[in-house]
Amino acid sequence: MIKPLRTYHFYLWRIWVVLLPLGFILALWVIPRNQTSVHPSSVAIKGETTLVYHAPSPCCDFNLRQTTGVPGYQLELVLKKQLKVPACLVYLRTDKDQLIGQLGQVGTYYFDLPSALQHFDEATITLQDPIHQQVITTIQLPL
Amino acid sequence: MSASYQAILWNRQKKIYDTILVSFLLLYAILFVSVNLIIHPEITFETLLIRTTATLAFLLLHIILMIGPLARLHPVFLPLLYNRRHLGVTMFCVAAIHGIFSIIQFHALGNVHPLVSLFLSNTHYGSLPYFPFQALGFLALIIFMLMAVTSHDFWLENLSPKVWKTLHMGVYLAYALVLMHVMLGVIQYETSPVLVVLLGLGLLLLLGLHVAASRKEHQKDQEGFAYNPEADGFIRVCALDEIAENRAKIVSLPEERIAIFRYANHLSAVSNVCKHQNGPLGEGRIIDGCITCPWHGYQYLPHNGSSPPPFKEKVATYDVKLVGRTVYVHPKAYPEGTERPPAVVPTNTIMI
Amino acid sequence: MRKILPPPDEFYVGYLPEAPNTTATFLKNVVIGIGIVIAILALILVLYQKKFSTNHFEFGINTTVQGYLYTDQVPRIRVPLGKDFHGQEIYQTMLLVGFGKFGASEAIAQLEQSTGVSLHGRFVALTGSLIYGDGKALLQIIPQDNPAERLLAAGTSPMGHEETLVLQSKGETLLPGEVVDSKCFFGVMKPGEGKPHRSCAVRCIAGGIPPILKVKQANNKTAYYLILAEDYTMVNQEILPIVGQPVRLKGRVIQMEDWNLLLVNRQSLLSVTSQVNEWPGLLALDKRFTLCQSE
Repeated sequence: MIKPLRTYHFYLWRIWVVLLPLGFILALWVIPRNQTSVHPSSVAIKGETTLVYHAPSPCCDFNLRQTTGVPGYQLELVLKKQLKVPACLVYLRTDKDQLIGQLGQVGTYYFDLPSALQHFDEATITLQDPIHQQVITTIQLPL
Repeated sequence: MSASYQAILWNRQKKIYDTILVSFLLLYAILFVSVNLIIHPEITFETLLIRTTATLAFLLLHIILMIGPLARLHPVFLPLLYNRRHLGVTMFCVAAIHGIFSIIQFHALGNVHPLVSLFLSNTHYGSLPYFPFQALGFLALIIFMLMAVTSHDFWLENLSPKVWKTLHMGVYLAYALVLMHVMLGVIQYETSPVLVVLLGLGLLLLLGLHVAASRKEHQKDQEGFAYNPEADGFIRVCALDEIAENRAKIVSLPEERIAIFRYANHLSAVSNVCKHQNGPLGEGRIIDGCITCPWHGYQYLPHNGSSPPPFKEKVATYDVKLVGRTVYVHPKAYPEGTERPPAVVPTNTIMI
Repeated sequence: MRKILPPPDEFYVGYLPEAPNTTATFLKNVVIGIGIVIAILALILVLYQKKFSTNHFEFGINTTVQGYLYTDQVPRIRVPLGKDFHGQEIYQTMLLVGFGKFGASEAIAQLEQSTGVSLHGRFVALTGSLIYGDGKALLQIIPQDNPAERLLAAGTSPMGHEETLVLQSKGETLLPGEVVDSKCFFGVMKPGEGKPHRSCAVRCIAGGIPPILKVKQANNKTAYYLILAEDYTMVNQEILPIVGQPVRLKGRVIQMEDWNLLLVNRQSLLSVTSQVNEWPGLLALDKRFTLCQSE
């Protein structure tokens, strides 16, 4: 290297040794932080209930609940992770298929089940993608 | 050395160098892609390509920037310097894939030209936290491109080594741009401190090596060799015994360094600056009667500073004399390639 | 360092076939070391990346959905999925977007031209590529995929759209979050949010893709709000300066079926976003720098 370039080298790295760490630290310091909303999403809790049956699955937990003093069942469905489907419907099968509701974002959902359910010993809950006509998961509920 | 220009003058060492380089590229890319597909199956092809090339190019840039100071701190690293241009061009190609694909991904298929979008989608140029980091990466890519297209010896010859070297020092600016491109871009999104620590370690390593190497060279220049010209203009250099056979003593004069070589009972002085890439000839050796540059092996005859035919490179020569056991050199440079009679070392002088 | 490095006696010349012994041995170790470092770095960089969302874009796959097409406010199709045991129809509202970084307005205008009828409120069979995640869905439509006869094959509108659309006010609120473009965020790009994606989000929203305020909630869930002006018109151009960065937006929240709308005051939004482009306001090193839309 010739002398002017050696000198250039020397002073450039003298400047870089100050500027680059400064830029590095400033860039870290100014990272904008996303804030969290203090309002949690509301969950529809429907009266005093007792847990009758609990069935976990990879994507969600199914909790069959009975409302105190009221005949019939309530299905608590805890969606634990995002479903990779454009839409999701919840079906109850006894002697026939009945649509009981829809799932969207991750969260807890409550569905009142038809009162006629008490006449059956067993029912099946099925999550279905109606757009692709695919069953996502199925769970048996002993009643 | 070549008398005419060829795309690449292949030799065994270059082939070994490039084989190792390609192996490392494949090792990194295969690991990065395959582990990503296992751990992050949700990743898209576009993101995988952009991130593989981004991290690989930045890693290669660190290696490239380490080689220069390492070679100045210890000659054992000189083989890494020998074919560094292939490493640089490879890094540019990887960075170009990252840059071009990112422009397509983030700016194409929109309501303005992708390059307009690149600079005008985010207009917060006055804000550090919201700064358009992609523009920094683009500017760095332009510097890498200029370096890559001028990397051949054709451009080195036509631009002159001084201009070429100055242009190629743009890599230091490019590194700063890439560092801030990363810090003001993806680091604002990623949450792991590990990535910040890695970047910080890379920065410290480069700063440490470059400051150490540039200080070493600067000290040599500042030492100001005892510059006391005699009445005839010659200056005292050293005792003869300080110069080993087939090696040189470098004299740091205010203008430039001179290399005084001892070979076959002779002493000759030439400019320390190789005509190829301004390598330090005085750190080279005499091989087959020729001064051989430690960087790329360019050769010069010591008594006239000319490359042996058919090569045409020439360096300045100086008068050198031996008084008793003391070596003297005259700081006046003769035109490049001027033959000067070497000082004769008496045969009864025993080298210690 | 001197103990680790070989003595500088050997001399390497690149064009000679062999490197000197000690140098060659030392460099072999250096090369092995670099190889190990490269492998470790590749693993670390992969392992410590932020997780990618499970949002999905069915690239190159066309799906036909039948529903009510709305061309006002935000272009969308409201797909009836079936009646529950109470007899109530359940709908999924899919936002419509065009190809590339464009909204669906142009594509819908072309469809209306080819069919010769207004499609607003009409029951149609619309073909496109699905984009979905976290319970939300979008459909990317291209006019060529929707010939007039097939589009209208679903029959005439069984219900007027005014009867079916239920808007429910949920009050005024100030929401912290990030403005993202719905198309990229819900699956086309990963990540489709944050600083790395900011320019793309600006380009998409400028092209007419509906902007969404993504709000992270205290219970680790995310809420999404379609951003519109108080008169239910789009504010895509006005909102561009604050896209892809932390903001606080004040507005009235309206629930429209399975989507929440955030109705913001256009004038307030303009005054805030214009300040962002002034130099003094931009030289903000304060990481708490946020944008509040004032009344």
